[in-house]
Amino acid sequence: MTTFLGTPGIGNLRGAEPFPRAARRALGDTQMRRNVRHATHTIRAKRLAAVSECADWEQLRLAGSALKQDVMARLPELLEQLERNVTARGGVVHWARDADDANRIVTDLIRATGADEVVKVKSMATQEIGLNEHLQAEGIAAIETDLAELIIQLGHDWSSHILVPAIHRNRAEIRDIFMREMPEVGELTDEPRVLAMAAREHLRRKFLSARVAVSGANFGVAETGTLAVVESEGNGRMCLTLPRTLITVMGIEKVVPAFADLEVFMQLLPRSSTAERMNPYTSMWTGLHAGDGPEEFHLVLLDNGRSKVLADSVGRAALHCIRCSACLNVCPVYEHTGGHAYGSVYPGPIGAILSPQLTGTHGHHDPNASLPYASSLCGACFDACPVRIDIPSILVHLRAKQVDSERGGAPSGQDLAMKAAAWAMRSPRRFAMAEKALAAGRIVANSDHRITALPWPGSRWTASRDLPEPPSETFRQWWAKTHGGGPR
Amino acid sequence: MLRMHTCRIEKGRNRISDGHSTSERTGVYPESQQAPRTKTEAYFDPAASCPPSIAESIDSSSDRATPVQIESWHALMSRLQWALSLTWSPMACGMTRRSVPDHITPQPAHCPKIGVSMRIALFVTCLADALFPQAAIATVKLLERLGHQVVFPPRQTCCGQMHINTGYLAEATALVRHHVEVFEDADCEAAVAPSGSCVGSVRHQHAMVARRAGDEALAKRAEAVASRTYELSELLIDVLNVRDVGAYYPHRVTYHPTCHSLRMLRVGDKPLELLRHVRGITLVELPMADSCCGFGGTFAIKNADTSTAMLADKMTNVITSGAEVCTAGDSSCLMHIGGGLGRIRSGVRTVHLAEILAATEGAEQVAVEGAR
Repeated sequence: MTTFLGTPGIGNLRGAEPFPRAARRALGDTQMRRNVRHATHTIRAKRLAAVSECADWEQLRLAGSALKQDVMARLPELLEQLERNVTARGGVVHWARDADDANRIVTDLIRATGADEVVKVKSMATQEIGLNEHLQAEGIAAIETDLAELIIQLGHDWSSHILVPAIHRNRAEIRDIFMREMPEVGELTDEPRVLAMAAREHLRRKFLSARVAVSGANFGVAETGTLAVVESEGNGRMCLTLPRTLITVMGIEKVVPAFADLEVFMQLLPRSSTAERMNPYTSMWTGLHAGDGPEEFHLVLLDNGRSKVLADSVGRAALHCIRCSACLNVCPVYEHTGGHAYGSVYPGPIGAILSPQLTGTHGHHDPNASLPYASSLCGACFDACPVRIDIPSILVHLRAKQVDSERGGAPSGQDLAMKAAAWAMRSPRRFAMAEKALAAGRIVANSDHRITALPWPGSRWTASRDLPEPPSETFRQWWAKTHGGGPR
Repeated sequence: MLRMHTCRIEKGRNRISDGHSTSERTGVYPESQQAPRTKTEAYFDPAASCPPSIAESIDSSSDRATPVQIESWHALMSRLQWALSLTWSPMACGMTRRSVPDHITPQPAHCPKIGVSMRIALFVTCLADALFPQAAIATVKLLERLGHQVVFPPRQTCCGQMHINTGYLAEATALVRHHVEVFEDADCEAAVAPSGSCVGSVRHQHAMVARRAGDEALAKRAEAVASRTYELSELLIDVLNVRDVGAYYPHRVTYHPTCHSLRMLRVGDKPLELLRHVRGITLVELPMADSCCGFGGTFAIKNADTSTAMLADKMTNVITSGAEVCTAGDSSCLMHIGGGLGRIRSGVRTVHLAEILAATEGAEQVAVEGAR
């Protein structure tokens, strides 16, 4: 299990080691690989079925993308509008520059109520800022009420998926965690229903006694000041309605201009994430209402690097993400390494473009500098993305930014190799000479005409694959021989 | 459960499902085919976007954001520039390379009637030139057999894809310029490469690289070259309008659709359409065909362990298919798959699509004399 360092200020967005090293260790965890493979393959097939029911899916994707472009284009204006409308309806809006800021604001708000225990709705924003760990250090118990988050919390584990945080666990493992951490529920089997009922019993007591709830938000509507949470289990509905005080932490990119825009996202999100036509619980609330729901509502708007991402005209599309996880589920890299290898609460393809942008990277030793390279650029993520984030192009863009930021320093081995290759390939004469030099590789080929062992860095290839022996004649030599230089 | 990955045999024809529902593939619809305009179309208004400078209006040094009014002339100009950039640079505005006006659709000028000879430049690709000449030789022989004239611009070197995808865009700019100069000078009606990823780079990355280097003129020239550069199966089906190339290949073959041909170029099942018309061939379905083999250029070196894990799955599926030959339209992916299959002595070999299409009765291995 990866240990999150939790970089001060920015929260859980950077791991302790670069992706290749973390991935290598993850690849050895056969149980995790089996679990993730099974889960991702199952959801892939379901998502395709759910998506293919929509005749206008491509138009929906275009609309979702266009809406998000509009939001990014006038984010400050929309956020102010949201603030005005939340305030007008009895809510209080707080602005948090980074994770530390947000944690401090939420802690102070909880302190003011006198509570030492809060119930939580599953939320990526609070995971991102490391709220639970912070509250624990401040003597406040935060209880996750989403089943998968509960499994993670009870197992002292880290989330490895945006939607299904415990995707790396199978039900036998979950049973063991429950038996160990919830002794009051007694003997359990590994049947999903038995496990769900045990969690339900455990949580029911918490719902009824909690005075404060902390949630995230899937959407915040600027026009009306409405917040929305989309979920499957009903735990969110309990948290949003029962406690006296509700504190919602929302990333600033989650704002949408108008209530009608939810029409687009409410079609895109459930089909892309859980492969459902509609999720079981969609809770929307607009300010406070006497005698109904919480008596106090706070909205914490979280920047934590987002405005920096917004300043990059190519990279900003990463902020369009609606956290559906479709890209994780179709990604062949994620399928093999699981989520912990990415070191951030945002794993998979979207994490590979989001985490390094949110944190910024400091030199090539920064673990997050390795994330844009954690992809074969196969493009499956772009096809699955409900808001058409061109993840492969952004990965290439971030790689280029990484390389450019290192220019002027001592060149790495990769820098030298790339520069040498570009030098050779810029000139036809040098290229032909390089090809001739390559023919010397025939010396190291075995009697099967294959090269099976090369010194480093070629060993990175030959450790698991052969290379063909260079041919005795290159194409251009063949062409000169058969077509005599030929017509140009 | 594996619906998205499996080829479906329909009426005895091996039709590949590229892993995406029909609707999902419509991302490559030319703009004119987009659906009736809806209210959400209003959001496409380029004027609704803003210059990057607006981003700075969220002041990270203060506790809260304040919006910037676009009131000055300068701000208006930059807003206009940004709006224009929407049409100039699809990538820069978050639109995608797949929504670029579709170069794939052949120009009518490039669609001669069957039997009319075309003059076609071979974009050999550095990898095929140096390591897999048999694929390039087969491409030449195939096109010549079909009655076309092949020319080889001898000054060509490399399209720069490896540099681009590793992040060395400054270095790649020189390679892009060289490629553009060589192929705009080439006396030809179209250019063809036996590689989906190299054509993908020419079509979807070259102009971006030039623009990033601030060279709009080069970007325009790159787009012109890209508009007449085709991957082999595209050239045969879209431009030359041929499906039966007269090939004979009596082997049990499975086809791996390479990622860039599938999701960058959207060749769909064009290669399979060509293979179906090969005499003597037994085409077998590749389970989870559209999964990446794990090559990914320098990914195979930088993330060697993950790459190998992905390769292991691909090899398992190739072997499970029962094929004796695994084919694809990219020598690079075949080098990876073949490198793994060879290492474990699997008894399956990799052969480029061009070699199968070039093979005829009595000359099954037309192209290997220079190979090894």
